[in-house]
Amino acid sequence: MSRDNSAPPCRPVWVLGIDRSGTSLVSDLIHRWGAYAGDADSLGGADVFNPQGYFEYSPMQALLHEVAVGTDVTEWDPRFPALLQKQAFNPELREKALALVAEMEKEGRPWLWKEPFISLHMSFWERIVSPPVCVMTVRNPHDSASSFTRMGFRTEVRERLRLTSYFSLRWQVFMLAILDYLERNDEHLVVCYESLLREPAAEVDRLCRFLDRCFDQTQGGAERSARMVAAIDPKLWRYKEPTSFFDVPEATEAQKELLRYLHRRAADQRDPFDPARYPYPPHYQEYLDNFDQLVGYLQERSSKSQP
Amino acid sequence: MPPARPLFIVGVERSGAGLIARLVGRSLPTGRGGDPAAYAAFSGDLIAARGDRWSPGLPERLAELAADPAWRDRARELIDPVASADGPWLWPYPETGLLLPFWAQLVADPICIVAGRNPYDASRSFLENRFPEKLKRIIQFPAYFSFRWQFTTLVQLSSCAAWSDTLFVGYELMMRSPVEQVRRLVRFLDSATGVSHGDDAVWTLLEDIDPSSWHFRDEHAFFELGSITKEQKQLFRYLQRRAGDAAEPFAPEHFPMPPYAWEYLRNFDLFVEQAVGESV
Repeated sequence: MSRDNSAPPCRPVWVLGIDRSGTSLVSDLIHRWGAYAGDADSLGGADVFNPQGYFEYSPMQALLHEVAVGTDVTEWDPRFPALLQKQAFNPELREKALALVAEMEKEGRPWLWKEPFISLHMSFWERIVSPPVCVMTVRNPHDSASSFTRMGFRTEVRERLRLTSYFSLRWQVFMLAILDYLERNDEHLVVCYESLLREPAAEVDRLCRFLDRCFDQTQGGAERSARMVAAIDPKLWRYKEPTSFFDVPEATEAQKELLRYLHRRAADQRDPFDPARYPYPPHYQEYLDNFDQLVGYLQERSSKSQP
Repeated sequence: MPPARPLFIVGVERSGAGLIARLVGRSLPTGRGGDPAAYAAFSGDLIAARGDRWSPGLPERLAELAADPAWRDRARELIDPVASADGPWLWPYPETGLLLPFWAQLVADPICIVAGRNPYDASRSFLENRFPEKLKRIIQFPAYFSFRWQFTTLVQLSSCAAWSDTLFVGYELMMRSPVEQVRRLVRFLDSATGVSHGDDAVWTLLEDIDPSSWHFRDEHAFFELGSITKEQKQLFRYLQRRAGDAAEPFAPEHFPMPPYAWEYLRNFDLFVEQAVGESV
């Protein structure tokens, strides 16, 4: 593991955030800034849910899955982070992880990874790779839930489904995991999705200056910024729920307080992070696990019934 | 002649309400039952008429329906054949508990027996008896069932806890001390119905109780589970006190449902319905 104090030229930039919170958009911006995202064939294509692409490096996703399965618990289990730490000392997994990193470093320039679930895997990766520069995305979870509901459910199910509480729990797990990791990694920026769409020039400039600083780029910032801001299309800001998250009854007071805290972090107010202020409701793990199991069961049955 | 009093036996699924219905049914030879299929269809229509069963406004909406002449007429078609008996008549459908706000508007001076059991044990029994093997292996159940139990219990108690003749029966007490509990039940029925049964009735009813059929006994787990709320634990302790004849008024505001519970209940039911083709 490389842990010297100088910033190596091939430092990773990782986008941390939950699904449907602007992680793909921010990845596009970082890619346009100049980071290598991986071979185009390994990044998957665009679709109606992400017209500008996902920027998810499939070999990395496959390894995340292998690492997670090896823990024998789900990502929602409080034991998951500690079990991931142990996985980092599995020689076979370690070798695969280092090989993936070497593949990205071959380009000899900053490189980018983005996959929402990597946000929950940092206790594995921080024992494998040099500390990445991190960009964390934050979006109103109520809007993200609305976007999430439209992916992957049949119409007759989707019409009866409301996922505000489910997604808020999922979001809470992601946010607390990321914030916990960022306590050990000062080189990070928190980006608010809504601010990015409302004030693209200012927010892109903020992101560009952050990356330039991390990678000692002193020239050409204006050109990089211009290239990045061209990626933002406010028309793609869909799924804005009429009810504010702060008025949604299904969200707990702890979750609402957590979003307020994240907004302050996105405004560069570095308040101390105390996870005890954002407790989970008692049923959270059961709901998250059951949702995954039941949806997975229905999807598997559906795929088996396809000719 | 005063109208015959209805006797409701209510309780969450797998809480012993079926056992108590059998015991009481043997004590009340007249005015029992009704058509289970017709009742089930009517119950389904009632719920569907006012939206999802897992909804905080369900009791109020059911009470509104009870004021609607069309619904009252349909309900009377179910009740009248049974209520025409000379003595108290038994309505032995445990799922009545959730619909009590409706039925309570249509009957006079009801008698009620509330069956209660440790919700964790009831949940394990429910899971074992109502779910296919494939689902049993992949889902967790305590929190879902505890929300279901909490809401059903709150709806039931909000209707019946203040009635003059309501008895709480603890399943665990019935299994541990069947003689004492059956005597208690018979004394209650004697007092509520004005019909005196002797000791022979006690011994007859005891034939229906088989403590060896008491499966799923882990009474401490409910209070130790991290997925159970403080309010749910307090509600179960309240039921335990009432089953021990504590004269304690019911205050639903002490046991509020958390706002996020409704979504979990609805979504769980939706997915299970998609998986097994029917609701549980």
